[in-house]
Amino acid sequence: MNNKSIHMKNSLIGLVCLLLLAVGCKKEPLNHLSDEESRIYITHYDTTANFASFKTYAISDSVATIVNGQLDSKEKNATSDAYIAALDQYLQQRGYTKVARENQPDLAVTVNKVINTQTFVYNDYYDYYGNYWDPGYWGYWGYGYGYPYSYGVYQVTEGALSFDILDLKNAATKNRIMDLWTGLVRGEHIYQPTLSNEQVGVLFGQSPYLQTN
Amino acid sequence: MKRTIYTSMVLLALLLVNSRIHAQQQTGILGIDYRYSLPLGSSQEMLGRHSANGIGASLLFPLNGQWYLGGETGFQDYYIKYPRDVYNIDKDNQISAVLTNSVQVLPLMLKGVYAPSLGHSAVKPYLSLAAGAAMVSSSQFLGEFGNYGSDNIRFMARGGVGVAVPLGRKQSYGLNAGADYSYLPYHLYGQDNLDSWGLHAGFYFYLGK
Repeated sequence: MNNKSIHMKNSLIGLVCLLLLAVGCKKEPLNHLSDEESRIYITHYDTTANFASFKTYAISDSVATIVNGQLDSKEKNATSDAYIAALDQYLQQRGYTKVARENQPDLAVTVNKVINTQTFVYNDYYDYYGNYWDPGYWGYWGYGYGYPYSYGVYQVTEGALSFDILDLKNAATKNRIMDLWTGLVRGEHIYQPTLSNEQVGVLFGQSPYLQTN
Repeated sequence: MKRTIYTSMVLLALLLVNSRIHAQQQTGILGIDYRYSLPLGSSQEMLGRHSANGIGASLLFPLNGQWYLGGETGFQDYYIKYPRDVYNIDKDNQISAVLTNSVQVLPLMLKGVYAPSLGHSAVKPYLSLAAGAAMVSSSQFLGEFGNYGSDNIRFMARGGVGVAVPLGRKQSYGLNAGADYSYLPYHLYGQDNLDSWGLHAGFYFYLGK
């Protein structure tokens, strides 16, 4: 091997190293997101439902924690109260009236904190979290839940917040409590009382059909 | 991305072997440039309006006093983050998210350069044309959730103009600057191409001179 060849080879090896260095300098998208920017808000609803036909709602008094598909506990504290209050505020802004669950509400509203340990893609995180609440809680003992839309079920390593609006008004005629609307929040540090109003507001903001007037 | 790096390493290794054969006959010119890219038209939606994170490198062998032939490679990193917006996934499914696109382009092309002889001029203009393949790695994120590992190899061509300023007693090295147009058909996320203008500046030197 002559000097030119050695010089050429060394230069190209240096070039390869330079390229690898350049590739390593790629701007990593996940390193340039704030907590707020990391969050996604997903809504899913029954397009056949007439949300204006419902007038009243009852809301759960606590937040259900669901770990790896199992109901773990129901939580009632300042954080759960903040999310329930935010839901109250936005539902009433949309014309719905809050009643006690003993007073035959048209809609049932639940808040669920979901913690999974597996990894999934964003829009497959849905599950029928509304049915973790016993139908008897709403006064419909013996009924099941029904879902008119299908979810691609998948999981993630972190938690999510799921908000469900369920149809109690037509439960007797349909023999099941249909899930009408689901709002899901995923991302960094999502379950905080100071964020409840903002997060519920985003979900309602992208659900203009959710109103009774 | 791993596949892109692996493929590029294999191709560069082939170039290395090939250049060794050429080097025994000719003196090669190695050029290394910083590259600034300006995506064009609809490609800005995916790539952003500019990328200041790029490098280019070429290895050329003189065919005669005016024509040079060799290879060109490099790396350009594109990144764009859109403010939060609502996206319709289906009729009954909406997502509010900050959308981020991340695209990396690693070309590997044959390159020809024509540099007309202008006597003892201190600045030597040139025209260049390159064609070959580009490894394009792209990912799109909704918030912190996204898809990974979309690597593709596509045809790429690049035409440009520039000037070289030889330096040194033997003029064995010099500075180089220019502009070029890159043609890169690419269909993803509703895009037809990743065409761009590019500006580059750097240095070159003769190997073994």
